[in-house]
Amino acid sequence: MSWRISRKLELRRLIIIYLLVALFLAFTLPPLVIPFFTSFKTMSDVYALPPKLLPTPFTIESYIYSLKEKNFLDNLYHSAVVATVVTFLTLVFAVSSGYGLARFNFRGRRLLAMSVLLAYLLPAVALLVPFFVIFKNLGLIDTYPAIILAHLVLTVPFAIWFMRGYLTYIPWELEEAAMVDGCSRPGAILRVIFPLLKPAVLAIGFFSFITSWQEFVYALIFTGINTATAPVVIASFVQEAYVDWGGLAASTMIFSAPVAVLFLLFQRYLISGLMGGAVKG
Amino acid sequence: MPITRKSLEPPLYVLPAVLFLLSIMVYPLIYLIDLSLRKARYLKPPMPYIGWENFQAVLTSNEFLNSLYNTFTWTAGSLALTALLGLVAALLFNEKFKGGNFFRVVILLPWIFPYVAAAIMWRFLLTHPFGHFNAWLTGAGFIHGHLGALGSSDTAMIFAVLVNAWKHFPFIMLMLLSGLQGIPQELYDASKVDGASYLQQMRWVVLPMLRPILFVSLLIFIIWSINAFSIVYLLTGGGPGSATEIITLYIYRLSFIGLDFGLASAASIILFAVGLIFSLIYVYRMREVLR
Repeated sequence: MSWRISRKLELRRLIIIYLLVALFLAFTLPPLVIPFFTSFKTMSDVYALPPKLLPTPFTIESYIYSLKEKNFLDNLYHSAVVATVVTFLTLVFAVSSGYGLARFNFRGRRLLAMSVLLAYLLPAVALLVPFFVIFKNLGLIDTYPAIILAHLVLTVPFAIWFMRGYLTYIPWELEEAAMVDGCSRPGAILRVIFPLLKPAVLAIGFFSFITSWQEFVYALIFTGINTATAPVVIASFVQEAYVDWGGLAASTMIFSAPVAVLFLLFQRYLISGLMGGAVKG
Repeated sequence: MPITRKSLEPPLYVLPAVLFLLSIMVYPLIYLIDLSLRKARYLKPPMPYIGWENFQAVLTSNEFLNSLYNTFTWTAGSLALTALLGLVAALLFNEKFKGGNFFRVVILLPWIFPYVAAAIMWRFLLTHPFGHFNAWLTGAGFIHGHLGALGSSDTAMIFAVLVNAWKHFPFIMLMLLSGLQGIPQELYDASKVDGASYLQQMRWVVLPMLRPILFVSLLIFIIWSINAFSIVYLLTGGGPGSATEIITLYIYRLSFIGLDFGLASAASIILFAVGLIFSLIYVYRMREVLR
C-alpha cells in the first residue's frame, strides 16, 4: 500500500473519530455546563426569554442565598456525617467478611457469597415499606442510625463481593509467611494484607461515600428536620410552587462538587476497580 | 483454592456479614411478606390477616398494570438507547487518537454526577418556557403547545428515557472498553489479512468477543432500571397524569401518599419477584467466579 493512500485513510479515520467525539460531547456536556452558568446568573437572567447562555452580569448571589437563607450547610453537614459513618462501617464489613469468604473453605461459603451478590441487586424500593414500619416502631425515624442502616443495605453487599474478589488475587502465602514469623492472623491481615488492599479500599470507600452522599429515596422517607440530607432538600426545592432555579442550580453545584473532586483525584483506581468488581468478581 | 481448616476461626470472620444479611435483608423481607397479608391502612392496629386480598387488589387494578407497562417501556427504551450509545462510545474510545484519554474522562462525568443533581438539572433545561432545551426543541418543531417536553404525556417518557441513557451510557462504555481490551490483536490482524472491512470485523470478530461482557453489563442495567426511582420521581413525578408512573413510583404513592401499607407491601413483593428473575440470571452467570 502506498504511503499516500494510507495517509488519506488515516485522515478519514480521524475526521470520523473527532466528529463522533464532538457529537458525544454535545450530548454529555450541556446538562452539566448550562446549569453551571445558570448558578452565576442574576435572578432576572435566569428567567430571560429566550434563554441566555452566558452569565452576564456575573453574580454569586444564588450561592450566598442557598447557603445562608436556606440553611443548606446544615444539610450538607448531615450528608457528610451519614456518608462518613457509612463508608467506615462498609469498609469494616468488607475487609472482615471479604477475607473470610476469600480465604477459608467452610460449609455454606458458596451460598453465602451468592446471597451477598443477590443482596446487592435487591430493589431498594421493595424494602422501603418494611424499613419504614420497623424504624417507626423503634422510634428511629429522623435519627442518624435509621438512615445509616438503610444506606449500609446499599453499600455492604457490593463491598463484600468486591473485596472477596480482590483478595483472591493476593497470594495467601503472604500472610502464612507472616504467621510463621509469629504474627497472629489479625496481625498478619493488618500488617501484610491491608497495605496491599489500598486500591480496593479506595474503590470501596469512594463507592460507599458516593452512594450514601447521593442516595435519595431512603433519605426522603427516613430523615426529617434533624437529619435531612442534601438530596432531600434539593428535591424539596423543586416541588415548591415557585421554583428558584438560580438557587437550585447553585445548591446542586455545591452538592455535586465533592463527588467530582473525589472522582478526579482517584480516577485511576476507581475505573479499573469498580469495573472489575461488577463483572469479574 | 482457599484453605480448609476445622476451627472456629473462619466463621468468625464471616459472622458480621451473616448477621448483617439476616438482620437487614432477611428480617425486613419476612416483615414485608407478613405485612402484605394484612389489612394495614394507616398502619392502624389491629391489622388483621386478610389472605391474598392485597395481591388480588393490586393485580387487578389498572394503576398497577399501567405502572407495569410503564416500567417495561422505561426499561426497554433505556436499554436500547443506552446499549447503542455505550457500544458506539466504547468502539470510539478504543481507537487511538490525540486527546482520547481526556475526552473519555469528560464523557464519564454524567456517570459520577449525582442522580438527584442530574434529574433536577435536566428538569430545569426541559422546563417550559425558559429551559434551554425546551426552547431549542420548540424552535426546531419537536414540541408543540405550551406544555413543554415533560408536560405532555406523549413525550414525557421519551425524555425520561433520554436522561436515564445520558446518566448510564458511560457505565456501559467502560464495561465494553474493558472487554475490548481483552480481544487479542492477532484476531484483528488475521481478519484484516482475510480482507475484512471495518464493519465485517465488527460483525464477526468484535461483537462475538464482546458478547459475554455485553450480556452481563446490560443485565445489571436492566436490574437498575427496574429498581430506578429518583430520576423519574424528580423529572416528572410519574406524570403528567400517570404517563411515567413506573412501579417504584406506584409503590411510593400507595404507601406514603395513599398510606395503604398492605397494598404497598403486596406491590413491593411483586417488584421484588420481577427483580429476582433478572438477579438470579446474573448470579447464575457469575457462578464460575466462585470456585
